[in-house]
Amino acid sequence: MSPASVERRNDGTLTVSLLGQGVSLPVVLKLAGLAALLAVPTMMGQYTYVLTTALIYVVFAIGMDFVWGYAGVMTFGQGVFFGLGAYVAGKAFTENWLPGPDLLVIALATLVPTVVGLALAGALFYQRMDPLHFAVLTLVLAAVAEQAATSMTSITGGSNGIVGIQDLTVGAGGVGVELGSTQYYYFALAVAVLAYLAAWLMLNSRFGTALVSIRENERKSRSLGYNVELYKTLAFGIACGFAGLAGGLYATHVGFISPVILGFALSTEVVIWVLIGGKGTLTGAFIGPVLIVLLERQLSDALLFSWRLALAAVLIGMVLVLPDGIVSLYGRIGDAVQSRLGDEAGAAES
Amino acid sequence: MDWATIASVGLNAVSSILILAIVALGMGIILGMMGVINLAHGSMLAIGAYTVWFFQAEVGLGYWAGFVLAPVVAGLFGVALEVLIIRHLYDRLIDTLLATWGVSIAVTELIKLLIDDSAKSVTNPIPGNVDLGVTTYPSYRLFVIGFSILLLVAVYGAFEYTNFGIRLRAVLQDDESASLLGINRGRTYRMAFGFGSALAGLAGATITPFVAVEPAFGTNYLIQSFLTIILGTATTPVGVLPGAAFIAGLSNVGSFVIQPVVAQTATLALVMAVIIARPPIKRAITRWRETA
Repeated sequence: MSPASVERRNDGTLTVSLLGQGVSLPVVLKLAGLAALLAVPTMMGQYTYVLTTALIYVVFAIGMDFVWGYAGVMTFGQGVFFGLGAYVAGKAFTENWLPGPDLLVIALATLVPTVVGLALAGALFYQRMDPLHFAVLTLVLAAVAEQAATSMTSITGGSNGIVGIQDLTVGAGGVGVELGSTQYYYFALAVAVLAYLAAWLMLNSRFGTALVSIRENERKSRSLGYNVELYKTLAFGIACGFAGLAGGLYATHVGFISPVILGFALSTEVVIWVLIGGKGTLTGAFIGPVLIVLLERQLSDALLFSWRLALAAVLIGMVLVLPDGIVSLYGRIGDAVQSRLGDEAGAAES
Repeated sequence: MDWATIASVGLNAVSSILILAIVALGMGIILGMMGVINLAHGSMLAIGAYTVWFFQAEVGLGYWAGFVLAPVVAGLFGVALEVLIIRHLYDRLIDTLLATWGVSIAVTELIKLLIDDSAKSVTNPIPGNVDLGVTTYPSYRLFVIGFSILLLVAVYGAFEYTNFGIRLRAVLQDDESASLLGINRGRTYRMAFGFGSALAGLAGATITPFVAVEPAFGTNYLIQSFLTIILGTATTPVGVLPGAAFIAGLSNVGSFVIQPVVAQTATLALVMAVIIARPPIKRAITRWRETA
């Protein structure tokens, strides 16, 4: 047997044999992607900063995918919770709310949106709100939040926002490293991978299975005894936690925040990232932001005024043509290959 | 506060309420009939408003030419939207939200690209004031109030007495039975979409003389008309009035007392609070009735 070969297992997954160890092809592809991301600062240094932002968005998108792709709850207002986390972190850093290590502030920026999200989603889900109405209400929430952040000048700094948010220092008890750009990149990558793994663990527990069953058939899940409202509320709260974590990291990475991050723009973008990557697959939530942020960096000079128009066109096109995102192409290609192989085998037999 | 101010603030509120009622009615018909929440509904207002601006400022045909064409343009856009996009998504309602939101962004960006980002103003076609006794009030605003009432009455009449209205109501009530009785469901859907969009386009055209016409100005109306629909049963001209009165009335009177942006934000927040608190209050009332 050769050291590396591709074969198809009985359950249909393509498996790569590497030095006698069988690894499924998707895992190999994911590890290759991770290796590429690890090499970015040394190979393509000019992308370090923009990809750090992309990795922070990945955390955000994983939360969105969790609640939309897996629990089936559509929301247009996740930017509110991202922005809330960012504002909590910004205020806490510039006004020294917490004495301890910096990561405590990030924890607070995660916690506050989680609690707010749980309260809001609980209030709406427990009155059995129609999912479409819920989605549009979150859109209203985004409008209210952006207007509120702009008009409450004394708290939020109005449309100027909060400036001069310090860099993150990781460590405790006097021993800390202030993260430079390369370190921050690896830190964001670590957080993104951890967020991916955390979401994966939750989704592969009984909790995650229940979420998917609710998405597939809410009435059936309810009659099987699942507390549908509780599960949906928890899923929304978790997504808000991811959003807040990402927002807190964003505030320390970029250093200034303004009401724009609370509103429609970012709330819509996270939907587009997840849709393009492929909703209901965590890998899609990883691919989407990285791809779009890189494309934006490459194309926004050429498409100065029409970048958002292009995004809107992509959004409409994806919904109509490829609603399961880029990741679903893998399955489609696999099916096409398999059917061709099957045809050849059939031809050989006869 | 003297009577003159109260009268003019009140009349302002009435005109805003009527405009919001028209916009929400268009959205409500589409939602009630097809289950689609058309997030591009705000774009119809923008299309109507820009049609008026275009015919007055660029073509030079004057305000009224644009005013007549605005509902036609918006209605045709609505029909095109239904044929090209919505039609394919009736079995995936959540996806209609995504697609129509995409359309809404695309329209805003297209306006920015084709015209520009700046706010446009439209010259008032009926300048001057009317002396009402307690106060003098802008003539155009009085026209808006009269026209909106006429329009709502006309829609009511069309609903009740024309063939189109009867078909519309039949599909609205039970589209399956209606199609079994020989009504072409797909065509009625398309007409309803065009009709709702035309109403929004006309509303957009009507308000142009007293607002700044800018690419995203429909968004505010989109949000307000959605909340109006949730607050009431918004598929009839009468059903939209309470919700519209609550939202537009509150933000209008509020704008007079405090800053307009703060008043609008506070109104939206209050309406959300009402929507959240309504079922528990209803439950409490039923419980109280049962015990009493």
